[in-house]
Amino acid sequence: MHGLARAYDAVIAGLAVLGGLVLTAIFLAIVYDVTVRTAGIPSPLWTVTLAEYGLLHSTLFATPWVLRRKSHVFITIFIGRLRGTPKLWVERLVYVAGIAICLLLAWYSLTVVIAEYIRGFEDIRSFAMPGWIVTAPVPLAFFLLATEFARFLFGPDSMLAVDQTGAEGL
Amino acid sequence: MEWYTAGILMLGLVVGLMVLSIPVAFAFLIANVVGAMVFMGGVAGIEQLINNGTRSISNFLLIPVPLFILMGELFFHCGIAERIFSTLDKVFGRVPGRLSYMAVAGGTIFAALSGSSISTTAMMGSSMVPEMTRRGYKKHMSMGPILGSGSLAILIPPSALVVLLGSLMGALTTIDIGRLLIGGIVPGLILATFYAILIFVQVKFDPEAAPLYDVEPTDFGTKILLATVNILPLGFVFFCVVGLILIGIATPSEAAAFGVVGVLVLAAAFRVLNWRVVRKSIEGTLVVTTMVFMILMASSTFSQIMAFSGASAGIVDWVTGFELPRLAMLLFMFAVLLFLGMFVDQISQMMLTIPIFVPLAISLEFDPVWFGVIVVLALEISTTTPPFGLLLFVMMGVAPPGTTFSQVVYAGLPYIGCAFVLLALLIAVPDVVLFLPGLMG
Repeated sequence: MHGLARAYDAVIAGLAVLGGLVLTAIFLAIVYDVTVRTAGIPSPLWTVTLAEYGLLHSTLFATPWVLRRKSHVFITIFIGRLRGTPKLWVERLVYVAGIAICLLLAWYSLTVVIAEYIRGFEDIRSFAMPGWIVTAPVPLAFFLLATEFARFLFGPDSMLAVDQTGAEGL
Repeated sequence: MEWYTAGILMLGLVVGLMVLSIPVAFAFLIANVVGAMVFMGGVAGIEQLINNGTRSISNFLLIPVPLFILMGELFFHCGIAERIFSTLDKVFGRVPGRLSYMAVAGGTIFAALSGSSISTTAMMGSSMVPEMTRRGYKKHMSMGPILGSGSLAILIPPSALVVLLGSLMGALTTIDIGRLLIGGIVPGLILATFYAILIFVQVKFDPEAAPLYDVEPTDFGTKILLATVNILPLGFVFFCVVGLILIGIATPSEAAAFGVVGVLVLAAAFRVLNWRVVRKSIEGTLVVTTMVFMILMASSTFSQIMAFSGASAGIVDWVTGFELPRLAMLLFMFAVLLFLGMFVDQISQMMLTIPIFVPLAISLEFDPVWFGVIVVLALEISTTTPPFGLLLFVMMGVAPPGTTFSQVVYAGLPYIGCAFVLLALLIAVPDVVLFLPGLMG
């Protein structure tokens, strides 16, 4: 069981690292694109399109890890005033709602991925990309988000136990 | 279903879920699924929602968002901010209220290099407030300027929040994000000037609020040398972002990438660039970008459902039916943003209001860039309005022990007043916003 938990943690952290690498790649792609264009060499069309997909995929790869870090922004106007059992029940309600919506979206996005694969749908931008490759991380991300909400529901950690002064933001 | 029932259902649901402390992105997702079931034909609507959501963030217009955030993260992690402060400390000399002026000057420079008001406030609060307290500065002279100038980061480019606003507005009207970014420069500098005037007046009427103290004298030549070595090169980074957009040779995405390169070059030149700085910066960028894009992914479909259900058009028709003067309508929208800002974060404020406000602004024939800057000003003010202005909490976290929340709130109030004076100026003279964007090709 311990081994499974460690493997799961490694998946969450590994996907976050992948998300960070994708963001870095976007930066390098844009710099490369502008540099070659400035040098008078026609810039490759794929850089912009890959950067666009990169924004989606880095978000989906990192979102379970961001939830684990309690960095998905939420409002404490109501729950901040609750104490004891009522607070615990509202917190549980939040986790259950999170699990429900994420599992529902994981399921329907999986059907979208499968349908796109079967139909051979292509997302056409500067080049044609198989649609299922674009949407494949969606069900994975939502499934892992559901498991992260479940960790909060059944585990000792609380999503609300976060210091607001350390909150990330724009 | 009538438009008002649809509007109440969708807005009520998302606000109710947020109040329950369901993370904002997931509150929008739940409301979207309900909206898709009710208005978009059940399961087909949910599948449409998934497709819309994924497309909404795989969008080239959003590339500056992570890059601007990365710029700010690099700037704060590599220690250039501390170098700026120590230089300003030498340059300012023996001026009454010098530390308050330093906070405004530092905040304005940071705003031009990073779009993060939270990082700016936290950094300046933790480094300056203890020194100000030790020197006998009263609370409103120490925390006030930091709260005020911390919020400048939103208005002065680079600002990821402005890019986000531009991309949201772009779905509803024609707007150039580059112009919107540039439009914030002059109002931002004017606001910083208002802050300096405010400090001057406060010190004039109450010199004990910021007691004079002796500083080690620095000769003029040394001051020039320090400013040339430590502050002038920052102009290079600012040019990488603002100059390239203004001249018209780079899009905001490209300028953002050059901005990151600029900070990297600068950090390397100052010998403060290392692997730890890069890793921490990418990690911080990933957290904020993911949090923002999840909300964007969820809420873009929300505005589509609002439009599809007829709620957006219904609200716009209803409000314009009152035939209020344009100014009253603008102030009404501003007040709504401020009210929401008391309870929800800036991104949620935008997501809830932009789908309705932009069509309203179009019907009132407001210039989109001018209107966008007014919205940004409202968002900026709401970072320091009680009870939930985020910068107030950031300041509480770094303020000396014994500081009360009301002291922090009161310290920020005169600076909110300055922002209202700026609002009046922008309404009276729209060219304050539109002049610089007008120079663009």
